Amino acid sequence: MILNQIILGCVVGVYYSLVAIGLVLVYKVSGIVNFAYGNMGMMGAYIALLFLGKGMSPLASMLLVIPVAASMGYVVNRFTMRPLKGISHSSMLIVTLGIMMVFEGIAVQIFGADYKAFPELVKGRPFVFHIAGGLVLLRRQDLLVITIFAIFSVFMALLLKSTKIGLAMRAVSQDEQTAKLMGVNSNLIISIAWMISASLSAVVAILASPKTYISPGMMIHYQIEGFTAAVLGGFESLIVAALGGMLLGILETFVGDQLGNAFKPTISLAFIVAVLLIKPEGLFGRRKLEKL
Amino acid sequence: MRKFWIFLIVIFAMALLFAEDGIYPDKVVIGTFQALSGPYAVIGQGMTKGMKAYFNWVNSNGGVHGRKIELIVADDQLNPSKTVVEVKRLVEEDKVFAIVGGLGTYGCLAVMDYLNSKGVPFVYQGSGSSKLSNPPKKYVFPVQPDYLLEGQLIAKFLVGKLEKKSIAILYMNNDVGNEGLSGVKKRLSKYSMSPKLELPYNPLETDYSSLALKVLNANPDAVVIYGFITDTLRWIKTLKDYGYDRTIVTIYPNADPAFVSLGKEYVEGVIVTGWVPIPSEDNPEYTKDYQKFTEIYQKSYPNEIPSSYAVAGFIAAEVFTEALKKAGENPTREKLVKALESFNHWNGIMAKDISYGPNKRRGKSTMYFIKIESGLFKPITPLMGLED
Amino acid sequence: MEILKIEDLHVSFGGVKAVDGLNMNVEKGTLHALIGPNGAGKTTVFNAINGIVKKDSGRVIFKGMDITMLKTHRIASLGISRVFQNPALFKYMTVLDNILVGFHSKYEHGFVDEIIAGKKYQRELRRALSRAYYIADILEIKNRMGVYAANLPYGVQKMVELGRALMPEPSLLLLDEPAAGLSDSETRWLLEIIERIRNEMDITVIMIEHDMKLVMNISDVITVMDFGKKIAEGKPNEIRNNPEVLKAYLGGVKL
Repeated sequence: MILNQIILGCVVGVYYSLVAIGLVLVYKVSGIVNFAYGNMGMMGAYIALLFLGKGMSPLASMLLVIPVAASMGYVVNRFTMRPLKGISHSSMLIVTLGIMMVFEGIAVQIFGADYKAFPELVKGRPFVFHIAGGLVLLRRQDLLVITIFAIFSVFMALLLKSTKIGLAMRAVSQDEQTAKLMGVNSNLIISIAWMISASLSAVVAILASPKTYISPGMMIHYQIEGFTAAVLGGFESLIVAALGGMLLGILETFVGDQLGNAFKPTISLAFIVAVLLIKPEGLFGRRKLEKL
Repeated sequence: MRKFWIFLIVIFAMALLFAEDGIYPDKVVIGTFQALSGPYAVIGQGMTKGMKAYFNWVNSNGGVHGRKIELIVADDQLNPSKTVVEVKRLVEEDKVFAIVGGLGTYGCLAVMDYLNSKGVPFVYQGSGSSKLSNPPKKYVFPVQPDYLLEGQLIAKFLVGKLEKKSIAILYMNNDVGNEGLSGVKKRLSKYSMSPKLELPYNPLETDYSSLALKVLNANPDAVVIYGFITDTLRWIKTLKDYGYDRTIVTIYPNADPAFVSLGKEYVEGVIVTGWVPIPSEDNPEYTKDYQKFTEIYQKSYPNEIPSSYAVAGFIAAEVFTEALKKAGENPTREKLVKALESFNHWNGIMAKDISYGPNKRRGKSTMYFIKIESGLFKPITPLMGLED
Repeated sequence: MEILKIEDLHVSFGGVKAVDGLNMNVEKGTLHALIGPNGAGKTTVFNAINGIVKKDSGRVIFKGMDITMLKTHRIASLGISRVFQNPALFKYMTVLDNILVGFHSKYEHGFVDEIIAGKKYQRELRRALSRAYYIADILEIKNRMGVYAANLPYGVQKMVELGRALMPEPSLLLLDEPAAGLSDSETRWLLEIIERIRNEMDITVIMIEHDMKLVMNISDVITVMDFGKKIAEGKPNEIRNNPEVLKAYLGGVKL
């Protein structure tokens, strides 16, 4: 049964991981905790719905949204974050909270407040496995998300490890000034991070929508959980953020199973407070070696 | 002649002094609080549209005793602390005559005592809390059935009618869920039964796969889900994917077209409760009512299919308008209360079977059960009460 | 021929004049020292060249091009490298990655090449790696390439930073107190390397340095600053005997 819970926890956690990666990516490169992150994805999901309405396939709709979401990330960064560069972290946080509400307001005004459905990209009955005397149900869509997570992780790892852009991203994340002196156009790099992050958020929103349904508030839960996962990892590295998401998913599943579901939010939060008290640098932040 | 003018002014001043708040020669001003933005905007927007559609229709037909009804909508985003501020503003600054159709359990409970102490009638709450009707409060008139009642009726239906032996209750860990749970348990104890499984859950969570395993292990004859549209759908999808194919009953907020259009084949065979009549072959008169409702609604919102929240707002407006009519040419708040207390199984267009009395405030004590078949709501029982 | 020309440069911070009307010409192929007491504004001059600080007025001309208003990264791409007084390495990157960042402006491939890992990308990567190892060889840090920068001793950090600055084959190198914090033997070795940089790599060097022995030994030209102004300029011999310098800067002690 423990194995079952771990598998189911990972299925829950993989969404948190993807959100956390997007949050940490922007935070590392530009120092901004982006509370508007989830709602950028929400906007992306609505736009995907527009493409779908034009008769495109769900997959094509999602792929078409990626450049749109990337432009949205670019615009938000270029016209709100960059001009405000240098104000305090808490002020920046308030600004992103404001943008979050603006997006929600826009969505309510343009698309209305009622729930809308976006079909699953992969249809068909879920796989049911009998493991260790229990059942495990794996939805095809969830398996797709896990696959996308794996591909995206490898992509990011390769990008950061061995490309000019990736190296520049890491450089900017550690010391923007010095990176500039190496000829790195840090504004461009920050824009790229925002574009990747916004695209990721849109993909998560679209993939999660068979569960959450599309509505202006659809990403609130993921925003909170993704943020929590990132905090668990100390907002340090992408890998650690991903691990944090998985861990949070497994933790919630275990608490829900063993201690009762009513305890779930309490225990998860208590765990995070405990982590922050004992290890303020995050659960895995043992030696800050690789930051991105 | 001068004396006559002075006399007139004094009369006028006295009239102003003693005139009821919100009552003007040509209009009645009332207020409501709704979540027009924020995560629950879907409900608030729908309900507001329903109210506005009905009042627009009444006003275009000359209003009530020559007075038009003017509705002020305050957006509280379903945040109770905002509700308190907004309602105080409605009462003390906008001087509304009554509050009609406020949305949200916590908001309604937060302003209930304030309105009652100020003597401002509070007609229809978008909430199923039994605390609104019990104990009765002079100025508070709930219309929607409460979850305590509903829970008891669900248990009565499942055990009394369908003869189910074991029942699992999945409930949101909030007031709605807890009240529903206690309602079901209350009735089950009459049959000397208790739930096979009581499972609280967080409606914001997006995956119930691991919780569903508990339901499967308990293997109940029937599952009662105390949730709102999206989380209930997540539950139903998960349970059915795991192969659970027995009776699933859920609550009246889910008797909404969106529930079917979002749930598609998954909600086939699911039973929901209802308190608002829906058209069917067995009830041809309801079809006419529904057509009339749609017609009135589409006068204000052309080509829009009204949601169940719009129906709720519509009923709120209906009940208030009827009471205002009954309150006579020169309505006061006291007269409105008396008028409402005279409701005896009153039927409007969509409002059906509503009764109040001098010390009775539960407006609606009957509900019926609906099954979703081929994407349509099919009533499977008549209106049922707790007695009989 | 001058490679860098500074004309009437003014920089101030909140009313304090850090650089006050500086004029300075740097000849191509020379080792030009910039000296002066603490707070004379030497590092600010470097920052102004790099485009890190806002200039009140004046011009900076590099290879005949006015770079006064250009952004930091553009100036760097034109071929001006900078080495800080305290090593500003990317601590959480390996030595190799640190050095490779220095090559950023020299890559000739685009974003798409990277995504598809095309031939061009691989060629460019090989070019960057071979230059990194060539430089690491000269600076004798080849055996440290896999170490994280934060774990290096101070002296080696300085070498890595120098290596990073040399990566883009700059035509002008700004060295801010390269010998500070180094032992005598390290300083002697540094001296050798700086001479190799000027002679073999054909890189013009401007160096801020407090170690007078070093300065007098290797500089071709020395500019002396005090309170943001140039008070003297000339060959080491001339500076050594300039009464202005002795009075204002060296406190009367004969070198």
